[in-house]
Amino acid sequence: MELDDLKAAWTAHGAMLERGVAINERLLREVMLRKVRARLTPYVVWRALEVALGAVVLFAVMSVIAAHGGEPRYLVVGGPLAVFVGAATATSAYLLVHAVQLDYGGPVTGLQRAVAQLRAAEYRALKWALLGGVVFWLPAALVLFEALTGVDALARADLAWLVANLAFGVLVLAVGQAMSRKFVERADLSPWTRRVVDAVSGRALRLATGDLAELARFQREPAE
Amino acid sequence: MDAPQLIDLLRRHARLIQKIAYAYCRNAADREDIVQEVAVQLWRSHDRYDARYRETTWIYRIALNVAISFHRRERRHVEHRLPIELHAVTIAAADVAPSDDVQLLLRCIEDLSALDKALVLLHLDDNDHTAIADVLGISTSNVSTKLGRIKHRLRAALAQHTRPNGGSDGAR
Repeated sequence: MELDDLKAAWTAHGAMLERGVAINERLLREVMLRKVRARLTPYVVWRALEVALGAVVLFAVMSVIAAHGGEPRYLVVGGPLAVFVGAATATSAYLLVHAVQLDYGGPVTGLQRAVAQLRAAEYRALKWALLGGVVFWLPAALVLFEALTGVDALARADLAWLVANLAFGVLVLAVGQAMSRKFVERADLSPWTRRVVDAVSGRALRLATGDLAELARFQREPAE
Repeated sequence: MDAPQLIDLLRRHARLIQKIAYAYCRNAADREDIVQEVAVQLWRSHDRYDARYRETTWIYRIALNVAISFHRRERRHVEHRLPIELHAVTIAAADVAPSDDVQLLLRCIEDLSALDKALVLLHLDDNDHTAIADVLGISTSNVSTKLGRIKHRLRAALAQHTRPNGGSDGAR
């Protein structure tokens, strides 16, 4: 036997190594995607809890409004509160459904896009929850207190104080929305603002985005 | 060179790097260390890459230098680490069981000097004498002479290993 007789075996060994590399690539993809899924599990659980809690609060608010069907104060204050709670619950449900429906079998770029959309939606949801919270915190506290204790707190509250609180809340909402549109909801975010958005859009989504970026970086086609 | 470029490079040349690692190390952990060290050296020396030479020549040089140094010093641990966490290194260090013929080949070249072993690897990878000379920094005529001697020596080694009761369990 000559050295050159072993060339074919050596070439076949190289091909086997290449197949080994391809298998390792697939394994890495699976491991990384499993990691992303694990990262998003707390996010999904929290959204599910939000939906459940939102449904309970909505039921409580509707019950109180129904109990005071003819009273304008309950309709004027409780109605928008019910709409706000309903919208917040629907948003949580939307985020939950989209998080659950992420396609881990598809291309990584598609998954990255879906997670980025989820982060943007999460930011908007949080923004409206905070701004809406400033408007509705007092009516919500009064209505929920009544739902829990049976004491008609909203009916007893000072109307001027209630209106002043609502007006202040609406003002904060308007300013907050304007600032968000001016500084945050734009394509050319400064690094500082991007860090803020990253922080408020949730740790799970941020970590998942990092893992997906790493996977996408590895899966980039070689530049021949 | 940034991380994606290094990843591309490792992906394209994983087979070459691994074959060299196989020739110099029997141990899988050592082979992974070699791949890691090659990645580090590629990362560090990319600025010094001379575009007049083929990329594979550059990779061969670096991988062979790393493997030979590793072999000589019998290092058990890599000396350097990449400044980034790179899965591409682990992936490039794919481990497969060599066929009987490859095991036989590896046994036969085990006793060769580090430089002769490099010469055999380059020859097995179908590099012509000029390319081998480029990688090893010796003249083409020197390549021909050395290769002739090595082939002669390996012929005897292969005959000994393939002979019944010749001390090889890889004999066929």
